[in-house]
Amino acid sequence: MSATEPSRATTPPAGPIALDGLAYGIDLLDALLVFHLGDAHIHALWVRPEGGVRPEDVVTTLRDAYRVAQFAGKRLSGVASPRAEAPAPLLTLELPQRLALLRRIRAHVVACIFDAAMPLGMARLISSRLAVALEPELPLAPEPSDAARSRVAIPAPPSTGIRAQPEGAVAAFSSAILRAADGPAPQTLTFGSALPRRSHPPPPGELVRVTRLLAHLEAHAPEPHVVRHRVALRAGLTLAALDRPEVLGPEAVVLIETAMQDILGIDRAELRRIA
Amino acid sequence: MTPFGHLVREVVPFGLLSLGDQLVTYQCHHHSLFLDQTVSDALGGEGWAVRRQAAFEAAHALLASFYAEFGIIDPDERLELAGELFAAMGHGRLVFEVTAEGGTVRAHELHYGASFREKYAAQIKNRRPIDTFTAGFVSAAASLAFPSDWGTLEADEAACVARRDELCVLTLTRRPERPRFGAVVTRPLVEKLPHGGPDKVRRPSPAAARSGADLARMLHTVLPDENGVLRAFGARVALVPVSYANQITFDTLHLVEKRSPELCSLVGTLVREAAQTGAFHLLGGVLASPAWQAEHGPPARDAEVRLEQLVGLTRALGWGAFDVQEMVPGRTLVLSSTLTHESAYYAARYGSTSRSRLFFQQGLALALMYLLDSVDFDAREPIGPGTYDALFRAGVRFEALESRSPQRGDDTCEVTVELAAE
Repeated sequence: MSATEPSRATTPPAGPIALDGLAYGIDLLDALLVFHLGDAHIHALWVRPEGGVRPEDVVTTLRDAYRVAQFAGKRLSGVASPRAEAPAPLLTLELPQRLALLRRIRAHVVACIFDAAMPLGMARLISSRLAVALEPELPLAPEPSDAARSRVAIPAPPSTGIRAQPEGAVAAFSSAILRAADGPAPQTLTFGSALPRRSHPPPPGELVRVTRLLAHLEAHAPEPHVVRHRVALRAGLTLAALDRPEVLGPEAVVLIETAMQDILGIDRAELRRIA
Repeated sequence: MTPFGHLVREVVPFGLLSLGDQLVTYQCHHHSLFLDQTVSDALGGEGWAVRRQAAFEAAHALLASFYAEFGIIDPDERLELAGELFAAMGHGRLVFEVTAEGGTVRAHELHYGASFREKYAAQIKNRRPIDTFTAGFVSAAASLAFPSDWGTLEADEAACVARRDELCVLTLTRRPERPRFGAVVTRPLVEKLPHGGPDKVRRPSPAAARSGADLARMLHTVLPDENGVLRAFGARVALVPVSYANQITFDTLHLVEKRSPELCSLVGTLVREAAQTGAFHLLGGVLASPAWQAEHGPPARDAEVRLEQLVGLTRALGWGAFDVQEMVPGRTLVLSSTLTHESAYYAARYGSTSRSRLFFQQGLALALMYLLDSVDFDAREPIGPGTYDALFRAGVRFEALESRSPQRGDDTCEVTVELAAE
């Protein structure tokens, strides 16, 4: 099943987001939901047929969970002022049946729901890439209020549960978090950035492993004379960066390994056996 | 089976080919696989959607023009013609089981999937379906057979021999979305492009004219087998719409330019590599083939004579009418053309740009240089499975530079190949 809704009257963009192309080929992805952090309004969604995820049942709960995570994140980071900007944590829910990762992009949350068989590192990587791809498609400006939203002629979101309000103490708790989180995401947090972080280089052992893997690839992959170009392109790195893995961050090492897995068609365990 | 050469007409004097009113080129499986792979390398899972959309647009224009020309309205007849055309183009055999609501298509010996299995299965595993051209083609065929206001029939590949399934199977489902179409690059449109007129195209040398005419004759008489497969000159060969190859190239490039401009040069290198490996195997395969040597004898040892022959072959393949401006064996080659399929496509679809866009011509010029400098046609198997990779293990390297381009205001497409610095 695939459905998208038009975004609201903010810029950019005004059109719906086609998630099919993004979700295509990700074997263990069960659902991809983009919803508004304020009211859990579904902005775009993709659900694998027979994957068992019912967006209308989970979206409000996921929104609440993310709010709670923001609240906890604020406390953990020692911020006392209620006026401080809300953090944008990466929320991971690991269950026996599923794995869900939630990332905030401005006023929206991108929720990637995987089958539990998906390795956590791979799930993080994929959700990061999906967030990067979606980021330019989501509205830049704060979302309109409910009153303003009601003036915009858009199809109603899936009916059950999406606008349901939490009850009692939970409602008060959620409302407090809701108020605390109304500000924009801190500029210092760049979840989903395609650029490797440079502040924490990978351990030396990892660097040796990457070098060994590249050598293995050049010896065994098809068209070895351009295989470094392929790895670099798949990992989103320049050739110069690939030639100097010591300047890359740990995220880049994961990207390089994933590119190699894709090129050779092997899984992570097989890659570990190589080097 | 229709010999697909009979359906093809030359766009004189530009060395281009048309099928119906669409521009097409002959492409071997080395080129096809590498180009599709490059799109996936650059765009990941999004690459499937980009390629399928390009295939849908190209196939829709091609089939619609045939249906209009022959007045075919009945859905079964439309599907039958689509299947015949697909096989005649060398892409494989399709068995449609489709209604207005959707259905399945069983596909045999597909140009992409079966070629991948033959070329790579022993070396690497693959976990994804790869027949996007077929997906776009059957989507267009079914949507034209069962037109509806409720959207188009969209295809996904449920099973693919490239990931070790027994057969390629595509499923068709109705999607409530309006089809999107870009500008279609047709024969009349190309003929109207500003290119200085046919008089600007130099007549080929006698050697080039003879080799081009002989290859065109061979391609006109060769028959795909009962599964729609054409094996010729040591490769699987298929007719590929120019719109498909160029749309996936430039859509990918433009997306990467927008998102990660620092990676554009990687895309350019790999697109050029696709053309280079394709041209090397197909042109080299022609010269090394027994059928060719029965008429022409062994390839000339003199580099200039061999180059004239090779340049003549490009016209028969629909790649363009190329001239050699300069050639120093083992050092320099300057290759020019008034109009190539990629310059025509880019001009028709996007207009001018200051950036390098003649990747196919760059790859072709590099392939010519390697065929002149690094291949021993006296060997028992001059173009074998390991020949191409061996070029880069020990041999010399060449570099290509796009020295002139109509997209930058020049009157010709010109690429210079030089020996790379150590």
